[in-house]
Amino acid sequence: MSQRNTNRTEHLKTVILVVLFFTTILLLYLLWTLDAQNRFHLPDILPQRQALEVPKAEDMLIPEQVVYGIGDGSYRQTETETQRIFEKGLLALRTLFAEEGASVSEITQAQFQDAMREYRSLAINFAYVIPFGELCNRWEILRPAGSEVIQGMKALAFSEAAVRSLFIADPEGNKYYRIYGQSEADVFAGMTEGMDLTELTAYYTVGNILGGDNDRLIPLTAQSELVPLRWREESEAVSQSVRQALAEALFGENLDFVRRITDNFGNVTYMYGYGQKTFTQQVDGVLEYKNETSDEANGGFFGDLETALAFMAAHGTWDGADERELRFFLTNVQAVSAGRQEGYRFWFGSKIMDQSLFYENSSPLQIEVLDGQISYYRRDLISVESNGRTGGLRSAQDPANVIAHNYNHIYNVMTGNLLSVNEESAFEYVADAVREIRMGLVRIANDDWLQPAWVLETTGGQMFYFSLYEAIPIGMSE
Amino acid sequence: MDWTKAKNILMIALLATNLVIGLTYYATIREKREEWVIQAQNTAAYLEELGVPLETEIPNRPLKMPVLFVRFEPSDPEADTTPVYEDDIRVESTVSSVTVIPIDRGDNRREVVSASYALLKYLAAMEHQEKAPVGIEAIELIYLVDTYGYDGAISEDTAVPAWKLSLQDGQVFYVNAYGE
Repeated sequence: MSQRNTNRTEHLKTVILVVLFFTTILLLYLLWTLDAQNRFHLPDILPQRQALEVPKAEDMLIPEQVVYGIGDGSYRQTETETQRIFEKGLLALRTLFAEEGASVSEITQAQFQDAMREYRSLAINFAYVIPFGELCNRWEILRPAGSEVIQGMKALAFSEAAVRSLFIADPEGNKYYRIYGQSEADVFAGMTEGMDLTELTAYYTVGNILGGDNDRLIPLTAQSELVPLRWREESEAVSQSVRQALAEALFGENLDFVRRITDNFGNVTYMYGYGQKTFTQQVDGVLEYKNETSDEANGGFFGDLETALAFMAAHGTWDGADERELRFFLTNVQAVSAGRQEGYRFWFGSKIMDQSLFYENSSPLQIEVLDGQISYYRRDLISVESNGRTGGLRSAQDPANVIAHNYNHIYNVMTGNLLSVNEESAFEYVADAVREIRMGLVRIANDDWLQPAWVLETTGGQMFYFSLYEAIPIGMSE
Repeated sequence: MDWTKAKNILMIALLATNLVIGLTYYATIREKREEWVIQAQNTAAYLEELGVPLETEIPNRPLKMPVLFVRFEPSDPEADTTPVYEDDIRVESTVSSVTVIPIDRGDNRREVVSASYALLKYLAAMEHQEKAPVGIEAIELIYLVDTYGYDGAISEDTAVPAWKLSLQDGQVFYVNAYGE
């Protein structure tokens, strides 16, 4: 009887212990919720196991093209392996700067162009200007006295006209420099040795092909294996996770209390305050973030680029990019300012399965950093359903034909003059305005297919898109 | 191991812990309530000192509220508008040409600022505008959809808790109850 009573008491104690234990948890939860705004969410508390992979700022600096001048008025141009050639060029710069008596002298645009055109030459061209001092610091290149005059660099060039020299061009600032040392080393030969130019496409100046003075380069003929590719917005799973990650990261624990607005088209905007911080998820998959930044220290070109890359990595920009064979690189940079704040806006382009991808009116990624903080971010990524090659090369329309067939259209758009004009003057106007013509896949509004196209850029930055094999206008930028 | 002894010790330890947590919880709630009551008394006294009539009691019970997601439907301008409520809390919009339909509440709740804070905000706003404050007829906690700051045509929006001060001159003054 006594044993049974003891057992009963022990059972009762066990039950009381369990009840007390759960009461403790309940009371702790109640106490925690008194001050906390969010519900208890275990994954938020556990440390993130996956370390973020932030691309290096250096890896994003890919030269737009490398141009070999033959010296007879023709050129060879490549858009592959440009980064490797740039690294080699920087090595030559470092060696030259390290020489005793290395000097910098400013030259004229005509002198620079002569060195590139009249002699065998090599020019590594970027689509944007890189602050030269920051570039040297980044690559730990010691600059000799006198080199501070070089502010920006858009092209790093070498020429047989001065084989022991190196040239730096900043066409936007109309500044050209020659850097030379005292040694007998042939810098030009070092840069070009082992180069097989026979496989590269021949380019000529627009002036040579179409007449006039335009010294921009276009290919004489071209072949391509590009075919239309069906595209779609990135998968719902990727998009959803990126959207959620972005919204949570941007608004933190306030996410549940920021204003959520859905407009009549279905675009959803999260707005903090009266627009100090907004995040919009458009129905077409575009994500856009705007933020009013506060006054802080300016991060400089590379500092801002690193801030931008870290932000994009932290918010899932590259999630699934490898599977989609998407590769990003910097396509444009612009110094920006707002009041006393300064920074840079970066545009990133992409290659999908090694093919250049163009958007009719925008770019895949756009980000602005002001005083070291992200003030604007826009993400518009897509996926394609199959690879873009047929396995066979086809002749594309010659760029000269593209211009000859469409100069009226280009002229009308550029000038806003829809009336018929003197054909000769319209042609000359267009031939003079050509800045670049490139091949790639273009995403046109209301078309589910990426179209193989010639992308013609004119002075002023307007882009015209023509079907690659038929030279028919298929779109243009606004 | 003597389980009987161990259970006794554990029971005492847990009881003591629960007592401490329970008392802390109660004290915190009580402190917050007292804070609101004192704030309300002080604000009423301040309004009296300023000569601003207060025809209603200042709410003095702290509470937490989530946001409220709503959608808009065009309303008939000729028809009488019936007030919209969500769990006894009135839902209002700064746009008069639409009817507000509650959809869903936010997942989490946040403590609202006191009504006294809202009254002081009103007094500060009047001072800023160099106007004399008008007497307060009623103070009510509502859900307010403020469409200011967004230019596009909105189909869904978010209502946030707001203190609505009804003034003697027929005007109303809203204060965001999240204190933003």
